[in-house]
Amino acid sequence: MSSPRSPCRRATRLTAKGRLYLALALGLLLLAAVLENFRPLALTVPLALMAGFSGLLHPRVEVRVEREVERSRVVAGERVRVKLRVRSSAPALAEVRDRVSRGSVVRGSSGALALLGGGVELEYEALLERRGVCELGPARVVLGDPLRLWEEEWVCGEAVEVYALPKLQAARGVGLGASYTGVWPGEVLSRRSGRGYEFYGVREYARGDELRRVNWKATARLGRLMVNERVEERVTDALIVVDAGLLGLLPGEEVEGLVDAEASLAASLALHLLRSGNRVGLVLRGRESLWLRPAFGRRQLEAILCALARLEPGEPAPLDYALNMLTPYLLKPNAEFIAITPLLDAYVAESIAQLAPRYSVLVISPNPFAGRRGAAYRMLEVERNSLVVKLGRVCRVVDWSPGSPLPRAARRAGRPKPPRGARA
Amino acid sequence: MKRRLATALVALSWLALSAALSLGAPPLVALASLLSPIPLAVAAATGLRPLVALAFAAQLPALVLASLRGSLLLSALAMLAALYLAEVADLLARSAELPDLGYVREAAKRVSAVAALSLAVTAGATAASEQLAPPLDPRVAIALLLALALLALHWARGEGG
Repeated sequence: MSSPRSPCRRATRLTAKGRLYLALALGLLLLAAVLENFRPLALTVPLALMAGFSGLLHPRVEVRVEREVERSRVVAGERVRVKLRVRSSAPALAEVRDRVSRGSVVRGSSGALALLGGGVELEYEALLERRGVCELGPARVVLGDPLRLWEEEWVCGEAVEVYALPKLQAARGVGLGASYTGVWPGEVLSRRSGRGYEFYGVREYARGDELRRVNWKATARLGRLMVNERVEERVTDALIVVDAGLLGLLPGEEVEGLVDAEASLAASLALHLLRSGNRVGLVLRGRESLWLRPAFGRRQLEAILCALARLEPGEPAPLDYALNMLTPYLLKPNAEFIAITPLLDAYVAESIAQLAPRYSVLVISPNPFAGRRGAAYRMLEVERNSLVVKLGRVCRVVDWSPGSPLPRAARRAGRPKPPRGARA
Repeated sequence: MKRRLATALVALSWLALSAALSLGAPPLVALASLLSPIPLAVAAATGLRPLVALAFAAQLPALVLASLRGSLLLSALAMLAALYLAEVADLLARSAELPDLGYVREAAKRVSAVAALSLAVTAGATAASEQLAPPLDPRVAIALLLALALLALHWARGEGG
């Protein structure tokens, strides 16, 4: 993937060394004036000559930069290889430095002192350890006279954005309890009988039924052929809400860890749901708020993963707005509503509780206070636990410690209630 | 290895210059001059460029004193030598952090070319001025050099823009 070509911006400035040369010359002139002795002026002669001849050797060149980035999407913890080609119209000495906004350069170097001739290639690998968006570029090429008394800075090439997508984890076993189902076969129990795994009921044999579905006990008891019916499993719509607000209560690094865990969980759930054929939407509440309408497929998965890569803690707007206004707009009644929130405030819990009668609500709450000591944290944890219990009365709440397997925490929270109208 | 050798050569040359300049100088000036190779060598080895300026500042009193007491030609040449060595040390310091793709050798050639041109003109100009010293008014010389410095600055800006 190459960066788009764009004209370079050029700026010229006197360097600190150039200013020192000038100051030294003026200082010697002043000294000669104060001493009324012209002999110190002899020292300014080499100074002026060095500066003058250095200026004569100033390169007059045009610079072009091309950047080639191996991939624009990586999973957090992976490396991305970058090639930077710098060309100049004539030989010139230059300092080349490519900007890497986050992550670390682990192989090669993003900067070099180089003799630009026909072209110089710089190759390096950046390790993107954490989820986020890394900007590569623009490249700075600094040309100067041999003594570097002044320098000419060329800023070339548009920045290329590389998305470090959230790491994925096991998200099976969470279970969906939505009663709204679509027309396609999926994994969600519908109110209809058909092909599936869950038992629905027994009915009389009809022509065309498979013999393996015959319920022999019921047949013997009633004296006519009876067959088992199963619950039809179909796709549904799901909306994943990720709450990264109100995390200012915690120290910086741990907030980042918690938001990474939330993003990773949301990404894993989205992947799992989309693979099963469901439509998945997303609402993010962080420094930037964002929402995506439920949709199918790979393009939606990519949009969700990129949005999650951009998620940063912050609170531009309260979450209840997103929950009360956006949810009915994005999600059909009785579909699956999944909230990933640390439950740090009562109004978030109240807003979710209000949605419980209209949707199949699942709350996954990463515990930000797990393993913390101190009276203040204990009080906050007690408050949060009471919200978890309160919310647990109206919907399924998975109290999850980031780092521990989610399926185990989900099993503790129990299975979703069967959809209303199902006979099982 | 080559970097270390170059750093050692620059530091030794600077030390020799310091020794020559501190002969007959007051103790404080001589001490500052003789200690100045330390920051220079550290700068060239570690990349701390401000230490080059510090080394030059420590050498400056001895240079000024030499110009006041000794020959104009010799003091100008000593200044030129100090500038050249400081530039080479600065070049080594600049290349300490970043990988070097033939840069240092080429830059050193260019700095040496600048110094050689300056040496030729300095030797000629100072020798001539020493012969013409009595008729040259110092105030006129100051005004001329000031004008030269301002012109050089103006020219450099024009070239860059």
